[in-house]
Amino acid sequence: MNALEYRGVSKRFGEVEAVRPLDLEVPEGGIFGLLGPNGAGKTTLMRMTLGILLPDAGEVSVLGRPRNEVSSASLGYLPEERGLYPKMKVGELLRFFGRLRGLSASEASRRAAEGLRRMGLEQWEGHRVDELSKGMQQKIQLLVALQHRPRVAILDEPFSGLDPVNAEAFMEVLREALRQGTTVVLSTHQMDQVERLCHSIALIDRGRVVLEGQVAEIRRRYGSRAVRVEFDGGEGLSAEAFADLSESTAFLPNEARFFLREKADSADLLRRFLDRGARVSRFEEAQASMHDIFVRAVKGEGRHAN
Amino acid sequence: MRTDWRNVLAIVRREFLERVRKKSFLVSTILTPLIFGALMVLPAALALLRHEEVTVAVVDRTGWAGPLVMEARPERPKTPNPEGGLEAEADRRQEAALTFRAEPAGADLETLKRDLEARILDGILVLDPDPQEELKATYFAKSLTNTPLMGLLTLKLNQARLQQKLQRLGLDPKVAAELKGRVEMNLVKVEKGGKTRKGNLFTDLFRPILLAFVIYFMVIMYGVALSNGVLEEKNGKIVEVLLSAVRPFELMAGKIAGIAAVGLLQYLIWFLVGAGLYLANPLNVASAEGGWMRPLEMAVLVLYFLVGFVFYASIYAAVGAVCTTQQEAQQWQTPVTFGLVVPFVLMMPTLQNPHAGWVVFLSLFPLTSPITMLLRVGAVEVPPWEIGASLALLLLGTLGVTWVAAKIYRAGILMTGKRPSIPEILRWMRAG
Repeated sequence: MNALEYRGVSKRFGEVEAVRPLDLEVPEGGIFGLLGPNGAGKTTLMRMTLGILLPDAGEVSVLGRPRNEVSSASLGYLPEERGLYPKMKVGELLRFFGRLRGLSASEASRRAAEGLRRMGLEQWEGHRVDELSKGMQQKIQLLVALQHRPRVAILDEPFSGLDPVNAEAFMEVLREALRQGTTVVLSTHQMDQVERLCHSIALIDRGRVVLEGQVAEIRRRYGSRAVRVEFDGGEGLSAEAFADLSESTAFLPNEARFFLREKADSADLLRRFLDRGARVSRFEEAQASMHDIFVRAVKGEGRHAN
Repeated sequence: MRTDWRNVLAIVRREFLERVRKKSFLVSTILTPLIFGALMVLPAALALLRHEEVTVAVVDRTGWAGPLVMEARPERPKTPNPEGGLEAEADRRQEAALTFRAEPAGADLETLKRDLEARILDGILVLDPDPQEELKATYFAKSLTNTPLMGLLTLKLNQARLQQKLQRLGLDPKVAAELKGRVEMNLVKVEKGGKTRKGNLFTDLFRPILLAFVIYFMVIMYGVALSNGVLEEKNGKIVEVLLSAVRPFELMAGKIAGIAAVGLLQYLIWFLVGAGLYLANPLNVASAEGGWMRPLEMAVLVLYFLVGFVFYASIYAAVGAVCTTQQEAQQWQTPVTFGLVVPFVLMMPTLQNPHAGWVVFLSLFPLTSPITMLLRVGAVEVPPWEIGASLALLLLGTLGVTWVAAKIYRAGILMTGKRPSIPEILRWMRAG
């Protein structure tokens, strides 16, 4: 069973098509990364998943059931901007949101205390939310999203405003949720995080899914097609000279980076350097980073759209 | 999905506790009755404060009026206000602060005016003979706003005229003292079943006004607080977290009920303190007699507050949901209060004609009925069927307004940026 399924889901705001008819499946378990540039439609998709917005068309199902039949206890949400009452005391706030997610009064108290302890914030329980630093508030937001142990937790840009120290406790709570079987869907701009954390991803641009699958599989698919060359001398070496082999090229004085076309061979690339009299000191077939893949996929999509 | 009342209850609880713990709750609970008390007593008390020495020149061209006016010690007719005692004291002090300066009949007015200019004089009273009224008086001053002083001078003039008239008619001037007396009318209110009780202005006029004031202020104060609360949740994106867990209707209902509970608590505090003061009567105020609220008034007050509050609060909630800034919300809040302001402006005519057709209409019409009906109930015996019909209409109106407001609230609460246009709002209402 999939944690989430979208079938022909679309949403428009006036003139803007925030999400075009879109199909997507999020498998159960692990972390699913929702990537894409600003304004790609990630947040809209998340809001439709949570029932905050209703799609114009299509169906969202959660854990195999239509979205509106799913109890709010099985979902958790961390919004991109602060979603906390600034004047409320931290402990009361956690208990309040716990109760709204179906916890009993005593269970809500217990979970709030436990969550604060795990985050190292127990001494802040009686303080007002607006007395906390940004990073601490973000940790509280994660507790709000996870304390009721939802089956699916949706985290919109969860790492914004976290310093490395806060990030450690934050990650620990996130890992604990994963161990308990929560499926985490998160959006982020930070590609290194995607590589470290996410099991599968969907790359969204202009309301469409442009790339989707398991991170390991995607990297394999794009993996050996990035080439880095360090060289010296040579005549007529420019991006144009490699246009038939590489679809994206960057030239520095003594270094060049290539992204090979689908049928191109890296050996042809090396031969061309040597043919033009360059002395190659280093030739490297690199694994494409998620960042390269991200940039390339978004650019490619833009070209098709134009 | 059906409404989950546990969610509503959790929201009511948060709303209630957060608001009751705020300092502003304590402050408004203490200050509101103090301000009301001050409004009633302050004007007279202030009159006691400012009594600068005043010198008035008297130019007597009649040959008789000057001394009579200057020696007259008139008594102001008693008013039955609770602050009547203060007024009498104010008069006495006014009298003490007043000095007359007698001028010859041929005194030059221009010279005296220069004294006004130089602030040696505060006023010039010119007395001329008048064939019919005996006396004609003209008062010159730099300022004509000292009404207590001018009132006192008028009383003195009339007393002097009366004495002169008596003399002309060949009557003993002592008759004047005999004539001073006045008939006071005892007010008796006849209640149902022929029961009577002593009436006075306090219980019969001030109390209904006070009740109306209380509803008016509570609805506006808490309505605006609700509107701003919705705005806070909306702008802080808290509403996203909330709406991922609860339905918009649950959120709106919880907020309205929570704030209404805060208002009721405030009533209860005032009521208990008021009851304590009434029973103890530390100032020994005689006019408190009959001031006890009747059970009917109390029931009507609470019922109209509750239903009327839900009526207005749901509009306020929708306003908060549609707007993005406080300033914008204020612009929309003002027209909402018209239904409360209109019966307030018509308060005196309402109390004078509590059974007039238009008054009955206003006390039935849902927008105005909370205030108008309270005024009527305080003033006269309103037929029970009218109260029943008015409450039923208010209840129906409330259901309708809440239904529409919930739709606007649901659509508006997640809107950011531009405020929606009226046609857009109408579309939301139709869309459901």
